[in-house]
Amino acid sequence: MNVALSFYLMELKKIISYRAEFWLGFAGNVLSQFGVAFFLWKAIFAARGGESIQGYTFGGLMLYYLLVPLVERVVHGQEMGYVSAEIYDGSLSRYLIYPVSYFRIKYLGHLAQATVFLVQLFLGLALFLAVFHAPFSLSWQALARTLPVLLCSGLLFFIVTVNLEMLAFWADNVWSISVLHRLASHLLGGGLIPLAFFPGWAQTLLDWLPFTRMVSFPIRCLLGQVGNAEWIRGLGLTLMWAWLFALSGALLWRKGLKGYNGVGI
Amino acid sequence: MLRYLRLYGHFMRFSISRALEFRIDFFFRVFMDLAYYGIQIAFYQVVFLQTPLLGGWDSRQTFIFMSGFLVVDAITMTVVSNNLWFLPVAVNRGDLDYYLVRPVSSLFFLSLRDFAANSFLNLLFAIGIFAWALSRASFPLTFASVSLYLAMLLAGAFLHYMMHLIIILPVFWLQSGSGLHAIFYSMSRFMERPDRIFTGWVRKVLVTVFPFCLMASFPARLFLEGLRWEVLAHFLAVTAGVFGAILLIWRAGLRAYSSASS
Repeated sequence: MNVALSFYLMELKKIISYRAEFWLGFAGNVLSQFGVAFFLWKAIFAARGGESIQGYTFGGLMLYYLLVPLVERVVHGQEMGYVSAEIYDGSLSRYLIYPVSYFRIKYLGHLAQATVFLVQLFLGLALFLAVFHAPFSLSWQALARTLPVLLCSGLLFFIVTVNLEMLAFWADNVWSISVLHRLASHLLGGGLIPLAFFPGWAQTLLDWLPFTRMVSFPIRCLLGQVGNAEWIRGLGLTLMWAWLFALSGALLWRKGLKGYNGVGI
Repeated sequence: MLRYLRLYGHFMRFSISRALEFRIDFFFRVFMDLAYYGIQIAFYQVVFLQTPLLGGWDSRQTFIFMSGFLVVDAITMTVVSNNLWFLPVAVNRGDLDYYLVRPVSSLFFLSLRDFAANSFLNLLFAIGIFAWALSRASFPLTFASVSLYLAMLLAGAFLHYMMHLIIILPVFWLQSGSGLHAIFYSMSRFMERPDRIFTGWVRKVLVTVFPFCLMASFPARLFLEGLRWEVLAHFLAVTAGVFGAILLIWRAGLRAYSSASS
């Protein structure tokens, strides 16, 4: 436990030591996504008329779009390439003799990043509520439901990412696959447009896929739009996908290590 | 001029042979960009389930605009993006020396050395989407109007390159460039939507100081709404202004460059 805590604290220190870059990336990403969505939906509401679209008022939709980059940052955790880079340069070897599991170390890094992003999420939310006086209040019940969902969604995203990164045992570059994964989860998870705007058949299909659990589901939990039964089902589906990807990850790890020589490129 | 064209031919040959050494990555990258195109098409399909017009354009007109920005994106990804990605690293590590001692323009060498062969394949797909969008146009196409649109998209790609460069050039005075790339890619999102949806001071900024709305929207407007000289003049004036600013900042940056690595 002490070793795990040490890794976690070390990762936190690393994040905090590059403060300017960290906050610049945060502000740029959140403001641009929110800004584009603000003007896009303002134009759509103006062209179409009416108070709401698919149950979303303009204010509600803006809150959703503010939460998208904030929640995605918490779920995504660290940047891409943290496993594949070590496979390519051979530095994976040193972890193999550590007394702690390699994936536990990597997950602690992910958790450290997620912790900092969680603080940003609540700062962003507080700022939005202060400036826009949106018809939304954060209930303790919604918060109590969201935190375990964020934890499980982050775990699922981490496991899927690690699966893709482990393809580095065979492929000469996996950066593009990781980008593809992020693009897919952004669109199919409801990050680009809320899932309520998709055709009915697409909503039914997407509900069963893992992407929804990485974006839309945590946001809806935070907004208090998820009842008890849906929360339990959603959490169950998240953990089921995480378990399935963990199984395939274990297989990839065993096969990959057999061919790994530690020389590096 | 011929010397530079010959040199660019060499750059292309080396880049293509290097790209084909890593074939899996080559096809992954092609597939990644195709997914990006698919996402843009799906996005506008879903948007037009909710509204008949966006920024004054119907779905066919918006798809012509969208296919235009895919072409702009594909051109810059093919020709300059890889190079600009590594420019801050070269400054930070002191590797810029290697480019400065060459008997050719250092900006030319740095901006065009790596030709992205995989993105060239995607450029062909983007041109296909562009042709498909034009074939659905509800007005007659003329050779002159399509040629003007293509020329304006090329100019838009040049502006896109210059904005990327101008945003990363402060790396001469800062320690790291990854935050600067993040700013550019965040701002690029404004290029992906029709310019008329933006209003107020944000619109003024997006058509002058940070002219992301000029790269694909203005060419589409000239094509869809007819040639208007004031729009064309505005486009050319801003492009010239950004080009002048780049030359000034580049020279100032080189004076501040110490060759020291970190």
